[in-house]
Amino acid sequence: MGFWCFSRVILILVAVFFFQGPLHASDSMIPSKGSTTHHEKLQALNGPFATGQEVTRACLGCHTEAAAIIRKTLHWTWEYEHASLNKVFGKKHVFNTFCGSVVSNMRSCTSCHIGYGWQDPENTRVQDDQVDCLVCHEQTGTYKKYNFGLAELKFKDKVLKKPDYVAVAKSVGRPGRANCGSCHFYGGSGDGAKHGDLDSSLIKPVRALDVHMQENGLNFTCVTCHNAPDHQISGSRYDMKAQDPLGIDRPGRTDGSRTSCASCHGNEPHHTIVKLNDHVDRVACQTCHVPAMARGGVETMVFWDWRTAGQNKGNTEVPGILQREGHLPEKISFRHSRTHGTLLWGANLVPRYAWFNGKVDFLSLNEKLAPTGPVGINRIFGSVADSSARIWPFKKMWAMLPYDPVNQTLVTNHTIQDGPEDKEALEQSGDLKRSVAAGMKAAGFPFSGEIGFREGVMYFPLTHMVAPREQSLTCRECHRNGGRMDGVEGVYMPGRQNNPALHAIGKGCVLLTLIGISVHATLRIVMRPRRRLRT
Amino acid sequence: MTHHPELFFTRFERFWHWGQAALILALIVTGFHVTGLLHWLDYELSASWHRIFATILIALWSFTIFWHLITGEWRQYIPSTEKMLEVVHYYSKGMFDPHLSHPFKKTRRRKHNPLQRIAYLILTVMIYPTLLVTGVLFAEYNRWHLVGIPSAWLFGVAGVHVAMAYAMVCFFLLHVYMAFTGRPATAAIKAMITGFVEVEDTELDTSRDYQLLVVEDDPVIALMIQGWLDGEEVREGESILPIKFVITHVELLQEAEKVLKHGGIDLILLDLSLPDSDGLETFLKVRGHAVDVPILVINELENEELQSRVVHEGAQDFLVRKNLSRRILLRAFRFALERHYRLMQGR
Repeated sequence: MGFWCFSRVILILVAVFFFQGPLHASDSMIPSKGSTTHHEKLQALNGPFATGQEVTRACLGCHTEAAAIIRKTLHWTWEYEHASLNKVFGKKHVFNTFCGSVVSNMRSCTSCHIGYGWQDPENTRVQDDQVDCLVCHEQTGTYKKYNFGLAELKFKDKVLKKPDYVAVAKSVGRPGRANCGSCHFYGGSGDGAKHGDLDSSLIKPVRALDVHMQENGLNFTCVTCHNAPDHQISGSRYDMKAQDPLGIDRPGRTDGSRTSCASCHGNEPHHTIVKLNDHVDRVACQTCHVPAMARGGVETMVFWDWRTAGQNKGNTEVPGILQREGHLPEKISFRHSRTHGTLLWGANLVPRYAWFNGKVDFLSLNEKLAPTGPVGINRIFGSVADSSARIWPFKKMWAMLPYDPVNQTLVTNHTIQDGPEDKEALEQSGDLKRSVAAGMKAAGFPFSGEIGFREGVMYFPLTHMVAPREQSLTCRECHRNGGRMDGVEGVYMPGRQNNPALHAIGKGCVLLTLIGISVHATLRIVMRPRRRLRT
Repeated sequence: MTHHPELFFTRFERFWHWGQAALILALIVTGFHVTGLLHWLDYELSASWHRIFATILIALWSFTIFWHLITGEWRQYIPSTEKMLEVVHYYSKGMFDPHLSHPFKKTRRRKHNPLQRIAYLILTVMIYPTLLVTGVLFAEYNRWHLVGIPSAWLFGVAGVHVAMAYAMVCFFLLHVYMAFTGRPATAAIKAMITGFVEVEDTELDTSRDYQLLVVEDDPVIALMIQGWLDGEEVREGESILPIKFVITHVELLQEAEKVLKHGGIDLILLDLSLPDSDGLETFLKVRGHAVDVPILVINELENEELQSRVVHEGAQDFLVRKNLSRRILLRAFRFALERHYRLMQGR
């Protein structure tokens, strides 16, 4: 072992020596550094600006095609046409295990839309100046979006809060982590709630949290990997690639997307322990290099119980399904609120693993549910027989979701007030039947008036918060009985006793041999004194 | 019975044996870590060392196979049933009686008793090759698709490898135990370290061929004797006579005298009735040419008077033609040679 430790120290020293260069922050990674334009010096941004739309008009004065380009993006349309499944996904059309659906909750949900003016009639929403350039490009960190996607916080047409538009506009640059994070870190009701691998700890991450984004290291931003030709952000959960056989991304030779580990690291990324490369075809990089979710100290939500919504007291019963197929935090502490029901959060949770070929199907609004079993809000595809599938880590988010037991559909829930006069929203009435009725009416789907609850589950593939190599999984985490790969079937894995009968027979044979030897040896010893007497 | 040390295991054999033992033990330990049965070592460490040890063992085996082919020592592993029952009986019963010794007398030519032969044969034609083939396949799993092996076969390949590993463990345990069943208990271990085995003093030098002169005018008898000492049957006969003969056959006394003048004959089988001589006279004449060579006499008929006279004159044995068998003949050869040897040594 001494030699082994010593050789590791040498390896680390060598690695430090050779990789010292790239570990320093590169100026090109810092937003707006190295740009040929200093937006501070642009007279067009001197203002004054009364609204976000006015800023956008100033942007479009130079970036003439930006609005048209933006309106073709998923960030704008919230609609995704899935070619191979021949379905339309996108926020507008899918459920989730959190608030359910954006339908009937657009006032609040659009605070994460890259446009303004959702209070306006539909035909004016698509005007060029409704595009919000600032939310992605401003660098002051002071810009926030509120209801209807507006940057002004209003109460009954009175502006309570509004950004310093000139300062914000002059700060623009390439999107930083905080820009993307302003929505993607807070989805699903709060910081870290939704994804398990995206939360505010990634704004200024340390090396142990994310080896690429480390502020004093490589300092990658989201768009370093999610490169965005024509503002189309690459990498989508609606149509993923579970592996990237194209390997290292070379302009003109590959797909131009950098949203796979292989697009920088290639498909033989391990140089010191080459054997690890034999895993690349069947095991996603994330499986070992994202050893846990919510590693930055911010908790993620693992269970949402809508049954107690509107009630003053929460549920404290730990659902068994969480233990079997979800994530159970070390310390169980439920959080309850009248508008949300009961929630369970946790950090540093062990992911769940499954074969995944990148294809995800989503339950459509108003889709008939299977009569029994948990409702798959999304469904992942892949198996050992599918060569494009690899073993991926997932967050499995469980919920007790309201549904219509008569129509056998999930229901849309009008959780948040459209305005001060809206009495139907759950946050106002505390009556789930009433808010669901309003939600279903807004969605245009039939509702029987009955409410039941169904277990629902949603898969979130984990890919962010990439740990440094010394924190990646050790072999034994999976190569053992009761390891992380329990439940991942179809693959022979050394260390997991894949054939218990064989081992039982084998051990039996060894035992019989030992018994035979013992008996024989005992007889020899017992017989020995007689020999001594005789001689 | 006195003993003397004889070199049974050459330096290469001892290097091979202990090297192989160490490697197999290391492979068992690391291998059962890889299967998940043992947990003292890190998985990565055991998996990589398992591959390294296996590679070294394959190299060692290559040398060893070459060595066995070149030296002809591979014949030591040809299975045999000779004395099988006696050996089984010895291990199951006789061993507990200190007065009984091992029924199989080892010689340089036959180092393994029939049980050992079978055990080693199973090891070398079944356990080793299966472990080797499945192990190499296992290690090369990531290239299976290049030759079209379905990846689901890994369950079978790995299963067979593990099954054979258990067989290997059983063999290893038994082998180590058996190594301590010598008399004294550590005799076999000592032999495998030093290379020397204490063998019972036999006057026969098993390392060389013996020159046998057959003086027999009846070609049928001569051919029959030649057949007994030759080919397949000789191997079986070795338990009686662990040496090999080079036969010189003559039909006349005259010719025999010529051969004897040349010298170098170790044993003479002499028919008393020859075309140019008969009876005691034949014996005396031959003896006159070969005073130091043991002589076995064959006669047509039983003749007690002739027999006692011939033996009195120094013949080792008097064999009657119609009673002759391979077993009788070979035993007579052995006794004759040993008696003669002792006589010459003054014991």
